[in-house]
Amino acid sequence: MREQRSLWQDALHRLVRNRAAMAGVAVIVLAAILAIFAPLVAPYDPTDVFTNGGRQAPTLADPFFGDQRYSDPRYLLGTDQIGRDILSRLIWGARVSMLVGFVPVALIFLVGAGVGMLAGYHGGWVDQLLMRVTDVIYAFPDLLFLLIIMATLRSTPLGDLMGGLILIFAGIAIVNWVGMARLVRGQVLSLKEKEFIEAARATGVPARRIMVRHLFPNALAPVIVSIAFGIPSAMLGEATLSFIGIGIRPPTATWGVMINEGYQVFSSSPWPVLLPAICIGIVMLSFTFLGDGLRDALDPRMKL
Amino acid sequence: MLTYVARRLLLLIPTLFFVALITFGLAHAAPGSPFDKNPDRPLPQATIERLERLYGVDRPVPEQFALYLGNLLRFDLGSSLVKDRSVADIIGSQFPVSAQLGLQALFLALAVALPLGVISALRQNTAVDYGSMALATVGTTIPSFVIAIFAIYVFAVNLKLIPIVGWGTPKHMILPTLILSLGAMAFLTRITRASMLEAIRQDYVRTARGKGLSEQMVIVGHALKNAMIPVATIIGPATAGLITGSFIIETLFSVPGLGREFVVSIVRRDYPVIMGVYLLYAFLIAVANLTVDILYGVLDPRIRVR
Amino acid sequence: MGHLRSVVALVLTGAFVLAACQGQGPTTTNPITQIGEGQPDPNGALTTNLGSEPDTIDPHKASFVGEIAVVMSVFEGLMTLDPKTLRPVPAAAAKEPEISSDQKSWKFTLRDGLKFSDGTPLTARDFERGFMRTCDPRTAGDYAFVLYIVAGCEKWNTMDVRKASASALDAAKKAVGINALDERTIQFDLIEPAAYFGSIAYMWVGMPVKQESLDKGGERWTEPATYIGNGPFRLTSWKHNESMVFERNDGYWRGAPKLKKWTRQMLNEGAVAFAAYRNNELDVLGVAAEDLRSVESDNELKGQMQDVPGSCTYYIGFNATRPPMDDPNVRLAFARSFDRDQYVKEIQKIGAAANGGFIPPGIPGYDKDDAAQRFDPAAAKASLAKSKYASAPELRNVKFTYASNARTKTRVEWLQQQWKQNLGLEVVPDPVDSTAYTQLVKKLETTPLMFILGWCADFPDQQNWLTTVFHSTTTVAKTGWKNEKYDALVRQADRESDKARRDALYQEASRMLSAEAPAAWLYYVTGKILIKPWVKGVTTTALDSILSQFRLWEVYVTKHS
Repeated sequence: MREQRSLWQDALHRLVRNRAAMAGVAVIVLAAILAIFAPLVAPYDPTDVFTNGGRQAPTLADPFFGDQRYSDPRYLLGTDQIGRDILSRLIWGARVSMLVGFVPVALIFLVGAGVGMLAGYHGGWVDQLLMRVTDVIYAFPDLLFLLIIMATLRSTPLGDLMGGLILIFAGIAIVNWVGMARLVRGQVLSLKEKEFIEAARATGVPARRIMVRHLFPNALAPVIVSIAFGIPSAMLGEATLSFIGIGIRPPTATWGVMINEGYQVFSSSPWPVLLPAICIGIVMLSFTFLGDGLRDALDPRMKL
Repeated sequence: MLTYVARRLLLLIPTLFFVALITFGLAHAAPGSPFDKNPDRPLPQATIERLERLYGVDRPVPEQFALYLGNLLRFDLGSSLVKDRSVADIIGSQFPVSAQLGLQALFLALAVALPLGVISALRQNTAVDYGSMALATVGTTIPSFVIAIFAIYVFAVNLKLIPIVGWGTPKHMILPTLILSLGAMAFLTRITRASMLEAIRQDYVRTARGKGLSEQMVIVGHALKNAMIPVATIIGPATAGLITGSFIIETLFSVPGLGREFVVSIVRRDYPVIMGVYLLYAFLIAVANLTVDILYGVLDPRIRVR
Repeated sequence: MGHLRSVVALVLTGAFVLAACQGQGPTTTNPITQIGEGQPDPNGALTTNLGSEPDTIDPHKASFVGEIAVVMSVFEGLMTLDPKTLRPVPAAAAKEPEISSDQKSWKFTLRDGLKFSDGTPLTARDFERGFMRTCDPRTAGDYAFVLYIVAGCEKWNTMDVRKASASALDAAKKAVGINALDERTIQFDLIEPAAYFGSIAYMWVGMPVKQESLDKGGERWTEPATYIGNGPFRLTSWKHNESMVFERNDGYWRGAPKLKKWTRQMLNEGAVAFAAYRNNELDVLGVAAEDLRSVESDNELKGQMQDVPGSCTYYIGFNATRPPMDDPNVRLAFARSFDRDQYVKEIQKIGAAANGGFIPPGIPGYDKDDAAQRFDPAAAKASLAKSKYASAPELRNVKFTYASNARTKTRVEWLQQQWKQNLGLEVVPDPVDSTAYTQLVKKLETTPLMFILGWCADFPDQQNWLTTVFHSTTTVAKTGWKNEKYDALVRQADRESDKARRDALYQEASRMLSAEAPAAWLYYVTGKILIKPWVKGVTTTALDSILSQFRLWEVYVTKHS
């Protein structure tokens, strides 16, 4: 037991010293706070339309570029082409984007890790079944599979739940859980034969206990890294689909939806596209730094 | 080896069967008829039902699936329900465009990633290394469609360097190819660098150095060859990924490829086209995944020794 | 190491931002010099945007605007429309059709010497083949219903091809009243008098087709090699999903068109098309509401913008079978309590206030003095007071169902606010998924209490609006409204042969319609287009599916560099 604690402490030390990763954590925490407290922080309702104000330029940008005629100090980051306040939409969009990042990945972890562990530990037909299922799912082109799930099911009652959020959570989870399952399975297979597991088995520790208290913590390292990279991948998936118009349903504002709507006027006003794109970029960058940092911290030999 | 390959190829069949089953089921789970295509001029329900009878879309879904499989075995992919063309026709005219785009992107990605990755590994922790790693990070985190929008804006609208409309000449192809290749370029750079670093640290390289060969020869002879193994093995999936994942780029740059066609056919419930394209893509990816395992078996000297 | 990475990434993003903001102010297109102002360039070439790739360009299957645009450039029917009045005038026909005394037989005589674009002679049999093809159940074209006025066409067209026997199909085919009497004459037998048949004869459903094209091309006869027509242009190249190229038909009977080449691109991204126009890669472009602000703030673009009339009306439909909408007083109250002019100014931006009747300006039957639904809050309140639901609970929280998207939401909320203000009634917006919405409005049982729909002209005649949409047997709009007097009136007008009397009957019906208000007219669709200054000879009408549809041969471009 002492061996494990020092592994985690050691890793934490290394992580904290990685400045890029810490910057990433700071951004993520900020985004999470904005997301949770969106109703309190956002100046306006994200769907409120100001009919005399379409496409204002951000007030903050006034001194540098921008047509003074078109900006209104009430809307700090300007308005989009229909007249909604961009800043409010960005803040509320953070909420959905965060959810889309975390919830499916949590599902992937629960389902994937669970199945992977069972397959790896028990072997036999469970393992065979898992391998065949993953073969089938691997054959599906990732994004296109998500695309087809979203496009076909979003008009059904399932797609209606929570404005399409449940569907996209389920979709991302279904498409990606096999990667996690295989990863965990691989870890379990390699650890299964290690001495301390043999010892535990020999002394009669029940299988479930072995899995939870011995296998699991040791398999965790690559899983954590996978989660850290899975979150931005999920966010990107949602943004891409919303950009084509097959993602979350209006009037919910997500950064992907904002880029889709802003694209229609980008040749005359880049702000409705630029601002959510910067947000997505920064958040994804943060997760990437965090992921890299975690990987470096947990296994310094795995320097990629 | 041969039996292994043969067995994997045979396994392809049930895999594709399940792909077809799931896709067919999903496509038919969506409400709405492919014949109600004009939102400004909705057809009376009676006409839609007549059209559905004519094309056999009113039959129970399992029966339709069985019919579809039957036709598939005779290499008949059917006709589009929405357009006046056969599925084979559509794929035949649009797929080569996507393939060309994907392959061009792959070459561009390799041409940049390989040298960059190797140099970064050799000059680890210098400016070159940081620079290329930064580029790689940007390439994977900023969504490609965002980069594409700005590229169009800057190069086509403002600088007027390239035409916006059309496909075929290098001027038309450079920007979509470049943007499509960014993701793969970033990924390949990281992989190349990592495997190169790994290779340099290998024992046998140390041994070779110990023999007194000059530094250059050590690198070229041993490390590079072994560093390329992981890279070579993922070329298959990378290519498949580029060819099947280009629909956003195709939409933004108006490239007449299969990806754009596919997205449209999903929205319009054009079942035969959806199935045809999807099966083609699944087949490509399955074959690409197969090449990974085969190449690993062939190229990795440690496995061969087995 | 992490430091530098993030710095570089931020710098790159910053570079993009700066570059993007270059174009913040008014941008101008390349300055173009015009040589020989006004002189048609004999090798003139025009490039326009077709939008997405057409599903089919088979004239007897075409239904979308883009498809019809192609058909009307390559083929020509027996009749065409006069651009000013939109009334039918002879085209391939040599003169006005001869109509029998019982008004049920129409005989058209072709001009002398008509040819297809490949030089082969064009005869009445080619026209017969075309019309029959539309009625053929195997063709399954969306517009076959337009020919149901011809004897036997509906029966043949609605047969189930899989179940019916070959002899039954053959018998039905023979019973259709379309016959080429000789090489130059073709006769149509109708089921009842129908003065509007001349308008139908201009449509794509009646385009001639060569037997050779169908035989040689089979399923793919619409590819350029076999797509032979008799219109002002020939289709010379079709790169799927990319572009179509048309070239002038030198053998066209009106003389070779002024334009030598017309390229149609297939760009379905509006933002890209707009950028292409600015880049001089497109010569004509439809202006989307999103781009209006950019166009108006650029002097050069503003000067190139023109208004074009449309042929559609959007309306707020009521389900007249459910309370409180079963009372015409209630419906009229809602129809008179919102300001249409303000709607167009604030919300719609591109469109015209529907201050006349159902039929829009430009279509025969437009009645600008139909004041039954004009904005009048006092009259609206009075109507409401007269109703049996005056203070009933059914009036509270009426649901307004619409297909969920940001644009429509804004419109519905504006209307909601107007009704609150002018009627004191609370209306509840009810957004649903757009596919679900399309299904809902098809059946009377599921039609919402209040909904938004549009109707566009198939051919320019009152019959297509007043009878097709609002006769109680309509298959189009499910308002469930039934008025026997109205039904009798429009059917009488349908059969009337005297033009003046016919127009009068339709006008009476139209005013009755507005007063009964099974729907509240919202706005008439109009458009704005951008045209480069070197494009000339254009005549726009409300029915254009393509620029200058009814004077295609007159369009030309002047030389420019």
